[in-house]
Amino acid sequence: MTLVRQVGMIAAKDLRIEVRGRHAFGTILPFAATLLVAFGLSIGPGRTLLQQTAPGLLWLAMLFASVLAFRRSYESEGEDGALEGLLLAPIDKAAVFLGKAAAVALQLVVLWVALLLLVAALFDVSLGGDAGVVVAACLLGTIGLAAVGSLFGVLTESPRAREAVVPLLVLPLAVPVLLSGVKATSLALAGLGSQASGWLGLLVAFDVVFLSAGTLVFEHLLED
Amino acid sequence: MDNAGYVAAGYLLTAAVLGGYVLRLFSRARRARRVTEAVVARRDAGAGGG
Amino acid sequence: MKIAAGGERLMGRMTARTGEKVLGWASLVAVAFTLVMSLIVVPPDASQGDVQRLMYVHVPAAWLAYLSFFVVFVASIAYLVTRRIRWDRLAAASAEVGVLFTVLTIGLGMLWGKPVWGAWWTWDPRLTTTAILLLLYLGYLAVRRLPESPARRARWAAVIGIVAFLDVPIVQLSVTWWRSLHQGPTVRLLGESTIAPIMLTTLLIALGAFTLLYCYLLVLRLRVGRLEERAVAEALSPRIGVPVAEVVDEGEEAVARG
Repeated sequence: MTLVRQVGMIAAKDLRIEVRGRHAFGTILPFAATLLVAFGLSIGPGRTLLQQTAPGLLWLAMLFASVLAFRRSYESEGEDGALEGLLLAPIDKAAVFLGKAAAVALQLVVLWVALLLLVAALFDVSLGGDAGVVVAACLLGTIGLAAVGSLFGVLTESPRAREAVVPLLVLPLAVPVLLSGVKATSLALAGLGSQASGWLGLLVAFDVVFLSAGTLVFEHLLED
Repeated sequence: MDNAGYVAAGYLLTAAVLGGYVLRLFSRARRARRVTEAVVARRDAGAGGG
Repeated sequence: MKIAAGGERLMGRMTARTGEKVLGWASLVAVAFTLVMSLIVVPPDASQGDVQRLMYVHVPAAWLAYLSFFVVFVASIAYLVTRRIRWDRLAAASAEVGVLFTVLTIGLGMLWGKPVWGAWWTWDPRLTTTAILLLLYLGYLAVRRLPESPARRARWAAVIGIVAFLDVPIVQLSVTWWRSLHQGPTVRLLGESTIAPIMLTTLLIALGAFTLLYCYLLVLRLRVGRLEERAVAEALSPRIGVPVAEVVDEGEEAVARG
């Protein structure tokens, strides 16, 4: 089976679990929404300030919520020894990494769109501007987050790591995604999408580095 | 704090951090050696007596 | 045969110890020389005055912070490729020393920045990147302390050591762009495009002295690591009368195999 087929198979499996159980969206979306409301309460209610900080808060909420998504992605393996089953199967370890990353990325995209709508409502942000750049920022950013998360999600097998270590690792690593995503999004929403090309380029670079590095080292994380 | 104060603080900080770490490493070494000796002594005494 | 091998190992240990002492004294002398140069010989800067002398500790600290994590990067790759535990030990030691130099870099940067910029923190791209570097390697050290099997811990740590280092240039780039969007204080700490020869010389001496110090700290930390591992091995070993060196090496091979 080619790598692409394997990746698709694993991504489909993860997504099927998510759609059936709806675990992630039962908890992650409400959690992110709570974050946004909390941000709004602590920064607002002045309209100008909220509008200015909206893209930043959107991506912050994404960042925190994505850590939960990574944990969820590997939790489903931890139960009833499914991870061992995956390891024994004649599947390329890289496919597991890319497949899980793809599944998480898709979930994060849906989450991002929901949060964007929420932000537009709560913080009075008009959804005009360069839609193409907004979409690009969303896709490239969520791919980057998913790559990091698919890699470090393995660490959530350790209960101690699940608590604070994974967030401690993910947040500094994801700084380029945070900065680029926020800047690109705010430029796009303001109709200045053409100025965002540098930030989008940075996101592409981040994604390439993490997807390739992740593919290379992933198997070392899986061994027991 | 005038400028000389910042310089002094900086150099003192450097000395404190680096020197402190060296001292800490020495004490860690001493403690590890003591633990090893204690464990070995207790174990060999146990073997001799038991 | 065994006695000869044991003797050889003992010799190796002793030379390492002697080498460590030599390195220690050499660093001390070099650092003392740097102090004389940077505090007494070098004249105060034309624009920044005496505060500029902090360059001779801040820049070496920064250089060593990044060098330490480069060593962690290389050692992590070496460990994943060879599975020899010595690389894991090197990574652990260099990371610990690296965190030290990173904290020092940030502290000195703030002490230099306050008189020059008027504020303790201005989100200067280099300092901000160094702060993120610190967070990354605190995470690395946290993973090293997880209650997992030593082999697993070592592998996880190695992966993080590699990935974190690859991330640093991207972080640097993004923070620099991000910062350039605002016309903040334009005075760079290392403002001079041309640097006076005496200052350059002193800076190079400082860099050399601190690098020597880094090597000493690394060697010392490696020895401490060995001693601590030996204590653990002794505590776990049930075999009376077996020389400790054998126990530790068996343990190393077991970890390398598993």
